[in-house]
Amino acid sequence: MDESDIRRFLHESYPQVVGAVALVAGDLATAEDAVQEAIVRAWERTDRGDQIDDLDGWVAAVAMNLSRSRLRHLRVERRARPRLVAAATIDGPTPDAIDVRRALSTLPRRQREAAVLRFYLGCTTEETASAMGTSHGTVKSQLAKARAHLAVALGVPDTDEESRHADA
Amino acid sequence: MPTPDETLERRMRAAAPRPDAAGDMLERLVARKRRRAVMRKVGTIVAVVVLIGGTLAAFAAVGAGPATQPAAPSPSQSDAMGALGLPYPICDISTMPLPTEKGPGSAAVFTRGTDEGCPKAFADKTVDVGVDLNGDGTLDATTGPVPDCFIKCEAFAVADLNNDGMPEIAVSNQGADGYGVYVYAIKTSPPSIAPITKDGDPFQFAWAAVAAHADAAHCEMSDRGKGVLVLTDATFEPPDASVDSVSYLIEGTIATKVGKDHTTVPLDQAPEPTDQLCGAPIHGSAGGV
Repeated sequence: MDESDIRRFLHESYPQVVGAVALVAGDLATAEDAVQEAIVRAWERTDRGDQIDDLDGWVAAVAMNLSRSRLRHLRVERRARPRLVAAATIDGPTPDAIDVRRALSTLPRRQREAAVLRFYLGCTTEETASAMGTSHGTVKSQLAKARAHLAVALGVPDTDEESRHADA
Repeated sequence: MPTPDETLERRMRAAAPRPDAAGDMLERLVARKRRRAVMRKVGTIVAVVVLIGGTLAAFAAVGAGPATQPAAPSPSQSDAMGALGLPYPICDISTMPLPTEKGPGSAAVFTRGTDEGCPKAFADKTVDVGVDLNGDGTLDATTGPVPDCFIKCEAFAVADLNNDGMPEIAVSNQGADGYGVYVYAIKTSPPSIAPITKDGDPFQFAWAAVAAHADAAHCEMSDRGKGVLVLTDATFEPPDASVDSVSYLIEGTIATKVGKDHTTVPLDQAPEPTDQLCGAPIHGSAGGV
């Protein structure tokens, strides 16, 4: 991995991966910091000769783990608060975005991660399981619970047999 | 007609926050990478210095005979189903002494078990905190769940953070680079324990020391003669350290910010986590930092 790969990631994938981590962490500043840290770690690994086949998936998984650190959250929040307050007064989220974020925030962390990886980043259940470091069966279970919860919270019918088969 | 999954996907995409476009992001990442490399070198040097210092101290201690300072008591940790007089099984128990006017009590941090045993993944665990105020082995009051127990939550300290004569219960959650500490207020009559809050959110502070940064807390007396808890956030910029301090007055279950300060001090005077919080020993894995 070299600078051209990093530029490609920043241009094509960075906003989407930050968005995914922000949906899980509930905080944009924490997500940006975690994703940037993850990119640097990926860069260091490849400098040491390690191979990273799926940079987007690797960065998303590591950034989600990093965003779990409450201390990181506190520090980043403290640094970013003036900027976030300014941004919020200019361009706040839509009512539907608030509903979706609130619905996600009420999910247990692992279900939230599974839902965002699957529905937002479009990962397969295998890719989701790999990113979460868990089994295919556990991911299916987490996704089923998350889907049911989100369906109720957001008024989406939870009758998608096709997607259930796809998860299987 | 979109499927429900497609609807969820579309709504999540619309709801996801978008970062600002940063034209200089690559330069920022390069700088971050360099900074990490420097940190690793500094960390290695610090580790070597600490190792040498520790070795010399150990030799000195052996030469001086038995240590005169008793070690901080360790938390008792065990897995016990149905312990502490609770009507449900518990596990991952860590305790610390809590002396009160009623006797030699204790504070306990524990995970709620199920009939199937102790949850294995921390994501599935509910961690509570309770107090035995008279030392009869039964918890007189409990509360929970302790937030953010993603890796490990455990007993941290029993310390009088506001100098009112009644200790507060501090519980730590382990993060990637240190600890977050939540604080609970207790009453003996009637027995109760409740989270201390600030602006409606659980009050917490960070407790961490990494290569170029330290978060800690200590107690001071305010100008008005009241005990305040001072949270410090030190960034090491050799030969100095930049220190942000915020003071909180804790009254009952409410923490109120009463002051803040920014100073620059010589590096060796920067506040860092120690093995004590306001004179009380730190328990658990954060002890002896």
